[in-house]
Amino acid sequence: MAARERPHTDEAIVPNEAERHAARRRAEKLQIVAFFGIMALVPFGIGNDYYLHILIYIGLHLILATGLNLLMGYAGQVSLGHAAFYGIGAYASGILTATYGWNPWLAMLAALLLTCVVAWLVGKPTLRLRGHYLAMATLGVGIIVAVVIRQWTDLTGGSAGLTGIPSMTFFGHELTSDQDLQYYYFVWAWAAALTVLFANLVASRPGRALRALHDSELAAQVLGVDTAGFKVRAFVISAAYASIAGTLYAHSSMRFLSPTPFGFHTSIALLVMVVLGGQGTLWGPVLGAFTITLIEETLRPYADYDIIVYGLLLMVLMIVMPGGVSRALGSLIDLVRGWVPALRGGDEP
Amino acid sequence: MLRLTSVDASYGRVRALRRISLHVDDGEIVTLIGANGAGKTTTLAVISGLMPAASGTITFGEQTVTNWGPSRLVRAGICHVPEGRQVFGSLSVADNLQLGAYSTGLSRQEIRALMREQFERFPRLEERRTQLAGSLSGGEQQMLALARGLMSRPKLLMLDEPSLGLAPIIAHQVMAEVQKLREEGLTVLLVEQNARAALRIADRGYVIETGRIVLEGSARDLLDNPEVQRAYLGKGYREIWE
Ligand SMILES: Nc1ncnc2c1ncn2[C@@H]1O[C@H](COP(=O)(O)OP(=O)(O)OP(=O)(O)O)[C@@H](O)[C@H]1O
Ligand SMILES: [Mg+2]
Repeated sequence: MAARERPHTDEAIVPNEAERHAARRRAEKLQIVAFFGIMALVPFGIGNDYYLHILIYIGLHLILATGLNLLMGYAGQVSLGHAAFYGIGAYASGILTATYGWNPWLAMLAALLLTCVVAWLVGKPTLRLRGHYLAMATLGVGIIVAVVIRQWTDLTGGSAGLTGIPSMTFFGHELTSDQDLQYYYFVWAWAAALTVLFANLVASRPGRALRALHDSELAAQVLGVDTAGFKVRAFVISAAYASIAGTLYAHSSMRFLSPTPFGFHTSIALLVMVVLGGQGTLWGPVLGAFTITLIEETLRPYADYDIIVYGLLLMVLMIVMPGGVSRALGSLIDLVRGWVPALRGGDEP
Repeated sequence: MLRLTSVDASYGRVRALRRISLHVDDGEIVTLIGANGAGKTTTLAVISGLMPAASGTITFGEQTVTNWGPSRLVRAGICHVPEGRQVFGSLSVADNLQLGAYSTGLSRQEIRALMREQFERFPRLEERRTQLAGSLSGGEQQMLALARGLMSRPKLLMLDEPSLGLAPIIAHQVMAEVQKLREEGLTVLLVEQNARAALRIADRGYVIETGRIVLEGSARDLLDNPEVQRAYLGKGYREIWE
């Protein structure tokens, strides 16, 4: 290789970071594919419906966290009300199918469109301004959506909940409620597809522009990158991910919607998932979704105390591992890789 | 080539530029000097479309370009290399250069040829083409910022304090590079706090104070001007003191 032919000056020894990063990114893609492969086998290992149920939730959270990761890790913006888009997706799907008898797929599409329009209306004016106006605006959206779900009882069923949501159909086949296994595959297929879409998106030319504007918005603007437009698009896509997760939630085994999962509480949990896993990484949402869903389940008896745990987690993470768990693991692996040849006394100088 | 006539600009209520008029002719190096907060960066921002002009007109070549967007101005041939280098730290040197051609609509081959041109001009960048830009030294980052700007094939190059924070010898190399670019036919508008270095390579200069142009002239005249010497060249403290 060219590097070998160069004289042994300082430069020749400096490792090619970007090459290493690119190699790692390629490896990561393969690992992710392998991971989804393993997830396809997991149900054979567990006979318990409860665990399957939790794994379905992890899949939904993975979709949500992946969307939010695009916004936070690449566009450098924060949404404090992402559960609202999850809720719009879920309730639009639920109402259209249960009350109006729509086909679930058509309802899903309508829910997706509605979510994107709302996100666009929120993002367009706020993302033109410098600073964290989006965070404020999404906080507001989160509150409004929560209130609407609770108060507009004729439409949403209010705190009593929305019932009678039909099951999802797949090529004429009903994914029925007593068959969690089918729904598990359905949700994880969506999670895999949306993760692959995300990976391709961030590796594309617009993805590179997005990363550039994260590094220096000013320089990107000077080069003619429509930075505000890119941020709006990233936000709308992240809301679309949440909407899809919402639809999948609505048709999951309970086929019942109540306001609780779509409140501020969930928005914070999603935020912690992304930060914990590592913003701007492929593995981040996976690690975050698993960890936080499991914490949620463990703390379920203590109801509202998990928000305290999330708060503490956020603080500790920011101090100890600002890059998230997946980056910390990555550096650890690099470190070990460096040690192995050294311990063996290998040929590396 | 470039002409500003009575341009005003403000940040909200704060007026940053008051009736700025200046021009840069084909093939010139013109420098804009002034103290911190005088309005140098703001002037460049208005020219490159980052900030609107509240009033006044800007012409570039034959066209009136007042309040055009940045990407259209890049295509017209204006390149702004911002203050503080602002390289894309998490991207490789090659990716940074690629983004330099973002608005040009050039084909892949053309971009590759342009990139080769930059690598010939800055061999150090070629050695580091796969390295992350954030890990380059300050001088290398400035070279990269310059090369990234040149990827848009500009007619007018606007540099905002390119020698800021660099060791004197590196700053000197940057200035030499600017001179070389002019010889190749580029027109340069150079913003500098290091007024002496800028005036040495410039043809003409403007002095800006609190958003107004207070002095203009040939570089020679400005170097000899006692006011400029006192305020910007650090000369003659003793004479005033005694
Ligand atoms: N984003 C901003 N918001 C409000 N005021 C600003 C902003 N940027 C600059 N200003 C003000 O506008 C005036 C001109 O600033 P500008 O950055 O153009 O100065 P400068 O000559 O480039 O200074 P320096 O040498 O420090 O870079 C200053 O008074 C500054 O405080
Ligand atoms: Mg400045």
